[in-house]
Amino acid sequence: MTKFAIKSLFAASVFALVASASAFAADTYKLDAGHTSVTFQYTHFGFSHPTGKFMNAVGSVTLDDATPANSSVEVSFDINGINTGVAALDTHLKSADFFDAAKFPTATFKSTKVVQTSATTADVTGDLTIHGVTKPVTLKVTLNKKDVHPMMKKVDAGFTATGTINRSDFGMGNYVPAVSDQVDLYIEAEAIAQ
Amino acid sequence: MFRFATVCLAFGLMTTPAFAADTLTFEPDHTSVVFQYPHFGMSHPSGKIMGATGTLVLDKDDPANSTVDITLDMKTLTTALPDFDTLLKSEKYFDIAQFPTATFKSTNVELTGENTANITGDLTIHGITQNAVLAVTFNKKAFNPALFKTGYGFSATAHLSRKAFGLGNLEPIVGDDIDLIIDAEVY
Repeated sequence: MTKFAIKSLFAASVFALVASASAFAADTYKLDAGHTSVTFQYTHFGFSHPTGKFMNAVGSVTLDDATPANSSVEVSFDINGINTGVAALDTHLKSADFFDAAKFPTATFKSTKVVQTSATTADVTGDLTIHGVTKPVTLKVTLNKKDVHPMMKKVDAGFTATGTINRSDFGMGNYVPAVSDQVDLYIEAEAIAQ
Repeated sequence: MFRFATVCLAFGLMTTPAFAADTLTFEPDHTSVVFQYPHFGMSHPSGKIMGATGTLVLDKDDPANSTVDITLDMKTLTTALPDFDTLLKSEKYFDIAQFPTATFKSTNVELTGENTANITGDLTIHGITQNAVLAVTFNKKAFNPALFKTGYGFSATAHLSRKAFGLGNLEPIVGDDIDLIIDAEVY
């Protein structure tokens, strides 16, 4: 953040981009697939907390500096990319027992509401569609940094987001409660200004 | 865990009453080390290493006498980005052709609470050994019906400097401070 008295990170990006004399208050950023991941974590018999990860998410973030509540995000990712580190588990999770990737190969998140909670944080509510089921989820999002990417020479915005779902809400409740219904989501994202 | 284990012994629930120490083996499909680092301050990518072999020798009379000896298979390293995995496994970073395993051998266990302990030990990665401290939490001891065995589950965290292990490429754009998030099950 700059040394000026700025009320919100969205206003800061207006200052940063004013030289481009853009008439638009909203800036669109495209997700950098190689630096965007969705990690899920659950509890196994109460013993440990295994994780799995999806990479190569595609989508965009639109930041509206004048009216932050008008910002939005739209993301989709390929279920077939699931990676838990245990090949047999990846296969099992993609099967009809869980994600049924053959029928539902893509998961999506489309924001419906953004409430800014501090200069660098916002609660982003949206429709999460997994396994063909759509439910509202609220993610707590933090803007880690917004700066010119040293290699791409474009503004890069980096985010961390967390959320929680109950997998049974999405029709994936097998083995509850031995394997927890609650699944924590950890999202890391970088988006490049267009 | 340590108090619970003592209670178990007192109630004679152990089937091998002659032994105060139980040797438990790490279950490789439910033991993992996740490493996480800052990428240019923007985001926090992570990778995971599995393939654990080794033991936890649990001394129920004196839990601080317990020892851990674990080896991880560096071939299992995965970030879910195959090209990046290839780079990390190459001689530019982990050089797994020369150093196919990472190990941790405990030297001290300090109980810090009813279910927590700091475990100090020798951590060897990339052929270099450094002192490391794991902040460990005991999650549960129970019968696992899928394995038909009684086991223990733990979580732990640690921090390390990758430079200290000769893995300092691209520092400081990619941060030096690595977070380790460990989950383990032993039976």
